Amino acid sequence: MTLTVDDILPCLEGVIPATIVTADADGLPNVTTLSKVDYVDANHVAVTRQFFRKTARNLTANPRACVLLTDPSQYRGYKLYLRYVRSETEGPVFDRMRLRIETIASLMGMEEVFCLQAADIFLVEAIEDARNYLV
Amino acid sequence: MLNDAQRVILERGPAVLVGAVGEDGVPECSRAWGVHLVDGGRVLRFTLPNQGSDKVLACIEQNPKLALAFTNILVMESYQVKGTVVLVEPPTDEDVARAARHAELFCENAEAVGVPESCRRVRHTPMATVNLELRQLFVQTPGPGAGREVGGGS
Repeated sequence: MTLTVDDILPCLEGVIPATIVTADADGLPNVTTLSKVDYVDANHVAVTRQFFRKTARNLTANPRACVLLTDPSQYRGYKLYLRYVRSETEGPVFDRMRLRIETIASLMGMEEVFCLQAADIFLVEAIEDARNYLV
Repeated sequence: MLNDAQRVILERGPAVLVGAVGEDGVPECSRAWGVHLVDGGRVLRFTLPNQGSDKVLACIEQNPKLALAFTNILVMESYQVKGTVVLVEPPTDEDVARAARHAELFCENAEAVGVPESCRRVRHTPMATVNLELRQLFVQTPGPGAGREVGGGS
């Protein structure tokens, strides 16, 4: 069964933080926690770009990324294999993510720190059910 | 390379994620468990679980460069180390015990921050043990200092 983003919507609720891995041109990986992965359509997701200077540089050199998401109800993991498409700094996806980031920042008392620079749009090339990946 | 405060985070059930990339340029990730320093603090030793990490191990065979992020999820204090894998071997009984203890502490922390209790149903079975020789340390805690290399340039 081929999974699409529609099959893993609970993972996008943000209960358990996601992780993104990118790599530079020399093959050195970089691991970063994400504030939010958002639904765009069945084949695309948006990722918040806040502090990810290294991630942004890596995506320029190598547009591939791997994101680990967790379904909080079952603690089931999914790996998304992504290809960077573009960054958006306005529009409905950006506005929705900015609102979400502002809410998170307010809850954490970090309004001055959390600032959405862009919504990075990725094509989802594959989704792998990592099953209960802690097992 | 790691100071006392960072070592304490390692001992108290952090979330640990590793990143690798193979020759095809496709990044891979996995959780890691039982993380601890060996060889005078120069090497980080940890286990990879038997589900979800087979591709990470395949990447390591092609490219030994690895990144590992560890986070105290109670306060979201986070660091990333980067280095070179110098050993991959089957887990010892001690590795298995460390991984189980780590998972137990992680679940305690996760519950404290609101993750569902279902986390406790999870049982971690290590597939391989990895020794990572540390080269770089970065601050990953969300904020303006995120990405700063400790003792380095950027």
